[in-house]
Amino acid sequence: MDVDEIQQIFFQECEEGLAGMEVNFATLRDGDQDPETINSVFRCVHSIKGGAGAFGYEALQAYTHQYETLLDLIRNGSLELTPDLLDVVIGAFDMLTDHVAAARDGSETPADEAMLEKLLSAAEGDASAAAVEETPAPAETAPAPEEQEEVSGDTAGSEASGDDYDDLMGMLDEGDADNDADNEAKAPSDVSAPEDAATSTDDSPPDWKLVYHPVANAFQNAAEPLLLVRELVALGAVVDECDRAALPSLDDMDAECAYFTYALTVPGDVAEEDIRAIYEFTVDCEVTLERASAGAPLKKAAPAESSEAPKPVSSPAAAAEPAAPEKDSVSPAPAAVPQAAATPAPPAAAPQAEKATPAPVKNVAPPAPAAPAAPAKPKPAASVVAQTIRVDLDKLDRLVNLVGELVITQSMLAQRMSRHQLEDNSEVNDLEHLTRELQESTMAIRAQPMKVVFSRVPRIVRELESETGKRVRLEMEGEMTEVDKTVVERLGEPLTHLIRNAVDHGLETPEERLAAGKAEEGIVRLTAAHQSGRIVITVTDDGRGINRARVREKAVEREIIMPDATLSDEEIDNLIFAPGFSTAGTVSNVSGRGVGMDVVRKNIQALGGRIGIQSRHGEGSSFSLSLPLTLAVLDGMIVTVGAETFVIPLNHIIESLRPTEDMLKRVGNDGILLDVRGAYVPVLPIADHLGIAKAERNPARGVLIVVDGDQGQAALLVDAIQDQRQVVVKSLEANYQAIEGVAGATILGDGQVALIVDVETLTANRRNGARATLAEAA
Amino acid sequence: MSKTILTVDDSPSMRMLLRVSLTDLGYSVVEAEDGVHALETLGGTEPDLLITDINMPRMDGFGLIENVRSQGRRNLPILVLTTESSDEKKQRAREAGATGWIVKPFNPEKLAAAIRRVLH
Repeated sequence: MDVDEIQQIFFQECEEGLAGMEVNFATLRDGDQDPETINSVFRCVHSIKGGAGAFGYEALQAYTHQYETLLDLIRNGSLELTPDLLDVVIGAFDMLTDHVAAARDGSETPADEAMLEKLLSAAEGDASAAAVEETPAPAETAPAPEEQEEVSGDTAGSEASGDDYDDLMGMLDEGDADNDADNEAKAPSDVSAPEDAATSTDDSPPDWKLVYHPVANAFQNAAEPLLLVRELVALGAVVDECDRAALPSLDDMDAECAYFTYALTVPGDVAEEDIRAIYEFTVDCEVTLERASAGAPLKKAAPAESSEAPKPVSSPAAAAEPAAPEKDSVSPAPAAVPQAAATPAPPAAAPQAEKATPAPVKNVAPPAPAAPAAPAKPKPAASVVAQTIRVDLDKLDRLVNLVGELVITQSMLAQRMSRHQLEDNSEVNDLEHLTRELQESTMAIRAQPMKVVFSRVPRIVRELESETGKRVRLEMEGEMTEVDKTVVERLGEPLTHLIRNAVDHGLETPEERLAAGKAEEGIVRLTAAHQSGRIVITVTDDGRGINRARVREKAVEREIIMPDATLSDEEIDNLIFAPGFSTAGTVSNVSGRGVGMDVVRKNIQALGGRIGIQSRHGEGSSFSLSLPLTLAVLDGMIVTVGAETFVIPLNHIIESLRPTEDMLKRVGNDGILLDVRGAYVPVLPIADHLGIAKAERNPARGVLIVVDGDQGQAALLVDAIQDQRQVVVKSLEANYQAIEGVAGATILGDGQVALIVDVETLTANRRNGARATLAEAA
Repeated sequence: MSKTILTVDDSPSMRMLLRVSLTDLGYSVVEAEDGVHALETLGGTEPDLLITDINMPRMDGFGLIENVRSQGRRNLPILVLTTESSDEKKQRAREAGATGWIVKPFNPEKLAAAIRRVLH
């Protein structure tokens, strides 16, 4: 497991987090202000910030810091989540998405200055108001980067902790006179040299004065003050004093309480950060660290720091020097821990107590070291069960392929058995079931939820809202519906186009809607669901619906239909998918990007899908996409041409028919057109195209299959239709070589290889051919 | 026998990062996803140190620490590892019973030093 891999996991988390936030925002926009919703948003941003810091994405970290600050104010109630504020929060979310993408792809960091400004002023908008009530941790609002400069650590990571710690873990238990004695006895001698040196040289910095006061209950929090004091001593520190003033009388003493305060002197040449590093992580103590003013006797020190600093109960004697020139960087002493030494004993009692202490303290001390012994045998890491496993896609595809082979072999076996009247054999049936299940399970491995695509939609809608001034309510359903990875990946673009189309062309402006007696806010609904082995996706709007008169007019103008063509409403609606058709009166910047619905249809067909539209004037339109769940199998019509068998993908087929002579119009030498209810479709004998001998060349004696390609329709001439079934697609390129007019191959149950017809290529060629023929005839 | 550290964080990448760092330092690592999960884990394992995040679903770090202490585990050092750095939060952690507080992003050496200072 290297850092790259962990980073990948981090980005996966980001994706999940962002998707979750999207859902939360939808809830918030609905006016549901459940505190848990905003909490959840906060946690996501917080996690991203944590990871960004850990992996060194500074821009992302700085951005999330500001974002988080605002969210924190909202979640703790300091700021009310007004619609305006929600807009800021959601706008910031969009930018967060960009930031994450930039960090992931290593691309340029988005320009976030304006957004940071917004976040800051939004947060401040509250700060003033909030300050009145409580005090919303102003510390947090302070941008992290500044703090970091103070401490000269290496990476951003190293010191973030710097700023406010002066607390320390408390400790000191020390009632242990022996220990004290040790420290005091040894330390001075150890350190004397450096100390002298420090004082002897004039430019050497003054020594550090450090006061260390563990809170009373430090031991109960498992703190071990001695470890800390020892480390300080190892740095050269000398324990100047152990203030025992807080020590109660023996009767009142709680063996589990910390009562002492230590004053230490650390040689001036020890780097501040080295000293701070020893205690800054602790929470159970108070520490002040300051430079001693030259020659000032430690013990006289007046309470240093800001008023609240070491007002500790401990005796003033323990407090540090007032002079402390550089104290500030270390000292923002947190609101002290008042309960520190609960009952300071009268000084008189001290000596007495001191003597008495060794006993109790000794009793206390052992438990601490003993504690680790308890866990005697830590169990082997019962780590979190992994929810996912990453597998190389190639391995997966190989598995999918092998299963495909198995399906074919199984069906060959079944055919052979049936030839021997053995089809009732229950083992054969079991094998068939198992094979099918195995195939489905394998396909499911490649499946991904539509969420991947759906999660991008809210943002697109938001952008459209601001571009068009329309108001949109987005409803989504079925985002967990799973479909093959490739399908998911390639659905993004067509879906985006459909959504843009729905908002830009489908929905009316708020004024128009009000005038039409509709709610000001238009509805765009996106759904996904499994339906009989396919995934059906719909994009519905409640807008104006298709203006059929306009569509028809345009189609005539563009020579897509004849002026006198008789078309049903449905046929008119479907004209919008015709190549080169665009209804937008003016090409808007939103959906009129030079591509039309024909491109959407082409993309969908390339995935083995179909697209359809239903529309009602004034009530809206609904686009529906039906796609296979996987590209590894295909619904096909099995046809015979001469001695060969072909598969025609079902998603291209409009109808099949046996034409009568009067439906066929001959044009030129060998051009034939099929008259389908007034529309002329070129007839294309597959045999001619793929060079098959001894096939039916007379359309009137064969079967015509009308197919719909990107370039228009064509009627494929075949000898006969055998069957309609699902076939496993095998790539020709991988096994042989690409052949024009053939999309792939499959192996049928009887072991025969059948080529899958590439309808797009055939229809494209055919139309060009037909045009040439017509031109010739004219 | 290496010491065992229970790490509690809802972010898998953060847990992974900790696991890598701590394993390098020679500790055994047990992980939990949030406070509730950590308490369950504590039912079956006796770590020498607990390192927990603050912001987590179900039960946050404060809740976890309070629960651990109220179960009488006074000798288990608890380090809070979080991006939070406000005094108010630290105060809460202290009251709940935390031993130390480390701000993310953490520097592995600092983490190691902090662990040394609390691991008895």
